[in-house]
Amino acid sequence: MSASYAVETSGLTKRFGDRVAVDNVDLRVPGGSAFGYLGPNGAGKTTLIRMLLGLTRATAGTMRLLGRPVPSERAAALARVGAIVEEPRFHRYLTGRENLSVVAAARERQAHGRIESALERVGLAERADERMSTYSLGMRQRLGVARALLADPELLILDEPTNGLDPAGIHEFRGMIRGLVAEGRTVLLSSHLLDEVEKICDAVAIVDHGRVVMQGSLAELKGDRQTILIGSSEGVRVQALLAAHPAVRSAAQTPEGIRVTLRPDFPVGAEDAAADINRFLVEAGLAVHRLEPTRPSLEERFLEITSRLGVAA
Amino acid sequence: MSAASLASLPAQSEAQFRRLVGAELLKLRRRRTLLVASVALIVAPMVVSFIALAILHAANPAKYGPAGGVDNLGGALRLLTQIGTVAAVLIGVNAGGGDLGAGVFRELVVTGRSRLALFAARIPGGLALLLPFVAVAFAIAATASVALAGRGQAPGAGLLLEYAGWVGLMTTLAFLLALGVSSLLDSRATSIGVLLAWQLALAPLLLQTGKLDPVLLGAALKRLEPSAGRASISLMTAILLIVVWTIVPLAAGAWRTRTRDA
Repeated sequence: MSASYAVETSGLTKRFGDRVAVDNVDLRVPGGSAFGYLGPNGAGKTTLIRMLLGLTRATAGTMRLLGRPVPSERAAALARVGAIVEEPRFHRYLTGRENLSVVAAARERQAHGRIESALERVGLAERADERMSTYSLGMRQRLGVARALLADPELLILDEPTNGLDPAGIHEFRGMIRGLVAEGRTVLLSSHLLDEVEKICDAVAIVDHGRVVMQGSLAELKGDRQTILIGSSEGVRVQALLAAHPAVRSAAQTPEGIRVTLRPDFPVGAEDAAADINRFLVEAGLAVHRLEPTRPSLEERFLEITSRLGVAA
Repeated sequence: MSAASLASLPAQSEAQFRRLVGAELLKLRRRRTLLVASVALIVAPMVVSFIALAILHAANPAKYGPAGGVDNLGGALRLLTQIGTVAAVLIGVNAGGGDLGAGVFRELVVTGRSRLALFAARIPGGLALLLPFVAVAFAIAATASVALAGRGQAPGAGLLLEYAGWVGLMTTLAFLLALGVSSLLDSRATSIGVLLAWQLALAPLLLQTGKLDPVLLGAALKRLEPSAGRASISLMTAILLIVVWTIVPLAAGAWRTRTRDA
């Protein structure tokens, strides 16, 4: 195992009786990146995070945080880790500032000095002296991030962090995460929201039924497979003609139009192939009103990969 | 790590622990209902009982003696230990189960701080809230028992000191028992129910039978009560009982805090 990974697990497993919540997970989160841990609800994302943070014991396997083995060096490892697990919880009768003060007391001495800057960073400085019982869910989420920042973290572990945020809050949150990564911090973000992960993260692991089924950079995960979306009023004829084109591996009718998957061994890029296909269709007398080279979205790959959705389809 | 930095480790740990204790005290003293209950159950009974005794004496001196004196001090402090024990239980349960009940325990665990340190900080943190109330209540009782005593009936300094120690011990033990039990159980409501049923009903009932005195904390505390009558157990047994009744619930609470899923 290498210290260049902010999080490394090997064979990590958690069983609850007969049920396996986390199944032999080997995870590698590169340092200085935003890493998405992506999976449907109940896939074991939170359980993995809880094991990493020492909230529950692993049944088997090993873990390292920031190069340190946990649980044996848990205290030293977690000193530079900030985390939000599920919905951040607070003492409702204390103010926001007092809640941060309680957690700062459990951290190093300097943590108290970071309370103000953390509150300002999440935009809660002016509401910090109000009781938590007056905070909205979105404000509690932001205060949870502020609490995680008290550690001056090298690694932030955020479990479904945009739950409860409105669209503006989500947009703001994305910017904040990218800002943290730009400062050299690592962010491990678990989510079932594909769009969120795709917009924030550099790398992703896809988890289903407790197993990591694929991990890598977003580009790796989406693959180099290229497609072209074609719009035509004569879809059936277009489909039939394209079957004979040398660049085309398959053509399928979708709600957006005809999705053409190119042969990976075709010698030119998608743009040139699109131009060639356009010429081919026009010369055949077919009107084309849309022609757009595309890459498969993370959502499409996710749907392909996760067994649950595969079964449902 | 250099020798200098190694030498500074105990001081750092001590300062760290003080911060944890301060946080525990903050969490408790900001609970308004707990503060009101503590005043009502610890301080108010002393004020009310001596005012009532003074009024009775003023109204009918022939029937009711002076409000102060050794007997009334003993009576007031027995009341303090009985009702004040309820406040001690409430403070102990909130100290032991407050973080868990609010879901904040896991937020403290993810800081990497030792769970045992988190547990241990609850003890001085809770006592820092409880004992000042007890001290104020005792001061009221002591002052009133001296100021309102008849000729030659005022308690001496030695007796007052003995009572101070006994009241402090009673309330501290009730707090520690509650802290241990509430750290062991998942529910504050259950902890309060179990502890109050034990303190107010079951333990006094068992004490009355006299058959279980060698294992009951109440018998040990009765043995140590100043001006108490005939004792059913020896001083050594009493001390041993107090040690066991302190260590066992605290050890159980510490174990559960260390091993539970947060």
